[in-house]
Amino acid sequence: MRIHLLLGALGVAAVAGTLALRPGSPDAPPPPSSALAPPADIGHLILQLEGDVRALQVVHLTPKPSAFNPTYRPSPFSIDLYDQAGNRLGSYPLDLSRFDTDPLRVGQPLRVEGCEVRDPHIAMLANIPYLPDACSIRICRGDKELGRLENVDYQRMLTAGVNR
Amino acid sequence: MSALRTALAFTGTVLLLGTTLTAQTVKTIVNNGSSANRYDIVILGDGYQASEQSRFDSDCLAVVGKLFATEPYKSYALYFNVHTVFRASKDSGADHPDVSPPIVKDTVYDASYNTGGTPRCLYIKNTSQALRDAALAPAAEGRVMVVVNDSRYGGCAGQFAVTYNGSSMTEVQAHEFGHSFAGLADEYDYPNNTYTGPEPAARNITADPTGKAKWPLWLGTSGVSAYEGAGYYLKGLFRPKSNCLMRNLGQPLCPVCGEQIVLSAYATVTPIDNPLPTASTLSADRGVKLGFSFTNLVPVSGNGLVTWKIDGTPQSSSGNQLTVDTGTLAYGIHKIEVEVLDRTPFVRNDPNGLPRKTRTWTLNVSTQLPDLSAFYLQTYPATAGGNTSIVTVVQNLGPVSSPAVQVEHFLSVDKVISPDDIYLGGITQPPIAPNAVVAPNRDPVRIPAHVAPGVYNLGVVIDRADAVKEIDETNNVLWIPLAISKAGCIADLGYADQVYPPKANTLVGKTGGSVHPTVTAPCNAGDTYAILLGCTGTTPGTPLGGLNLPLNVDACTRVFFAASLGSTLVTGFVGTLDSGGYGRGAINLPPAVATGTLTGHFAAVVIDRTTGAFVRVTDAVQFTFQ
Repeated sequence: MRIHLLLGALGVAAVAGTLALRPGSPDAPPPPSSALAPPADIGHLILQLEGDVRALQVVHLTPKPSAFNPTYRPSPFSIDLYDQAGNRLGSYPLDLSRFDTDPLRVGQPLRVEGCEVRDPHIAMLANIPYLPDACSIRICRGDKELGRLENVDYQRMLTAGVNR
Repeated sequence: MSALRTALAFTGTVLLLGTTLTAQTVKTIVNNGSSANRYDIVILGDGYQASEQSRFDSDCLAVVGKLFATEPYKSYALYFNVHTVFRASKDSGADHPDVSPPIVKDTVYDASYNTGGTPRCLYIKNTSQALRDAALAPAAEGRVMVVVNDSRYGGCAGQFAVTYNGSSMTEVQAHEFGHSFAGLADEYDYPNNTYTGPEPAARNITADPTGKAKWPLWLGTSGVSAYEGAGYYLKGLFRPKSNCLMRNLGQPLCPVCGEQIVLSAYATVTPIDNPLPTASTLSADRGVKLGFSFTNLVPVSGNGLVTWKIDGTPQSSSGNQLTVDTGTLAYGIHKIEVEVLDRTPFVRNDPNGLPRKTRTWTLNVSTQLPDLSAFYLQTYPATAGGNTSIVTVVQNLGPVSSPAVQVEHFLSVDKVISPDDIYLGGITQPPIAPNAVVAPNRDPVRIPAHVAPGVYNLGVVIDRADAVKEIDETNNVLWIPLAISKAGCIADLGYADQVYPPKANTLVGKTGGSVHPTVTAPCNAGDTYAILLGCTGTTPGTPLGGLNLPLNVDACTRVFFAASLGSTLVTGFVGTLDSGGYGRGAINLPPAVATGTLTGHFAAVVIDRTTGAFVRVTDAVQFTFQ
């Protein structure tokens, strides 16, 4: 009879009546209901710069997938990015503190003090963000331009870097 | 330091200026997180032949192991990744141009002793190739370590921090990296030199004999003073401490040097790692709760201080996450900000505030949600077991229509909806247009007979299940007082559970649960009652004296009555009506003990305590077990 189901259930429950309660999981903060599209942050470029304090050129660049990681190092030197219309898209400090930036020493051999090398020949890596609209790179000391990479060469190096 | 993890990235061969280079191997040997927020150290090897690649690998691990065993690198190890790039050289070793006859090696970066005329200055000449190889690493911050496979003591630092790989390799590299990474000066001196120049730029040497020009906040603590002899001068230049790794190998870094290393790490890395949401500009409907979080990289010794702000107002949360209820914000643009301050004992002089980092999100609170508001509530004094009517006015304050929503009523003592409140049922309100007002009135609403007389709070609850997202979820409840008077000389059976009307209830075997059939007979306090179960319907019923119990007494009745006597799961089905005239039955069933179905009815009978006569019978209530 049906009543036996209920009564049987009650009997079983009486035996097994000490079921443990399961604690609830803590509520995690819900995600946003919507979000604007993130900025077009598709990585960064490693520039290889060569030259001296009077003339400094980009000789190679290597695209990287990770986002640009800015570095706070105040410097009178900068790498500036420009778009096709000549608008400056960004300016990033260029740290030349490990080099001999005395213009009078340009072309001279490196000097060693203790175990520190001071070389007027600049050869270094520098990071900049990859900005899709950028088409030229200018290396500056204040308002003075030390070198630039124009669109054709920029695109060629970008492609060469990607293909490596 | 975190576990060293090796991941072969790729190998390849390039042609440069007509010279065939051997294949390079790129590995990441310390991976503490995304390069987007780490200082990525790259280590190159020079003068290693192809057969010596394993030596290069072990040298790199030794260099890294020493560096991150040295404070403050040790405390801030999570701020760094380390990658290695190996390209085999034709020859093993470096150039020794200062010996006779000179030793010349054909190596990939052309490492040489006697750079600049200093015999122990081991540096590389082919910096272009070294830079190009360093750029093969997943990321590079610009400063590059080079380990040269030569046993003659030497090292030097410029853009590259170069060391030999003999017994002092790890000490030399830690020293040279201090130059390259943190711009530290050498603190050793040469005999008979006296400095007369301007104040040096490096933070760890000074021409000020008091030390106040460079490290005033360290003076007199941790052994810091101004010790003459530094920067290659015996006289005229001063160092912070009598000894330091920047003066002698085998020494720890002094506090001033350690400070510069921490500040240099903070020039590239923020302790606010992996911030979520990743987008810095967000849009959310008003009323939605948003979670903001990050991983805090501040070492334990830094006792990081976390401050969250909304529109500049500090919030109570000081942890790694904040939930923002946009229902509390006005429509429009808001700024959510987290600030982390590393109160590290390694840093005292911090003119640029580098250990204080912030992350800001711009949040646009938009208006695309309804906002249902319990606007008005009215009722009339009622009697337990009797009827009343409830007038409810609901307004949609939002700019968009609401979907259909449940509007329900409760009687509560404390204005907090809980299982012990008395449920008065509800209705489904059709969609409400923006800014529209509706009045989903209910008439009649029966007050269950088992409600004890007294003053209650009558509440309307809109969308109790929270099925409708709204701008403001806090205005869905409204309370007013309601006096309930004692029932008359009735005999009622109803469920004291949150079902409406309280005349049918279900017990589910899979989940378990409780039902509470309750007898109400206010004029029969002290009399005996019995709640009976029947499985064969309510008609024709069962004659009891001059009364007719609306229940067909059957086998169910007999078995359940017997089972209920002395059971701990079935209680109160036979007993004495209390002073209010209530007899409270209960079935408490744990979950998952049975399957099957049973449909029946309960009805109760009241027996005079002195004569034993049947004096009242109740109506029947439906019961289902499934």
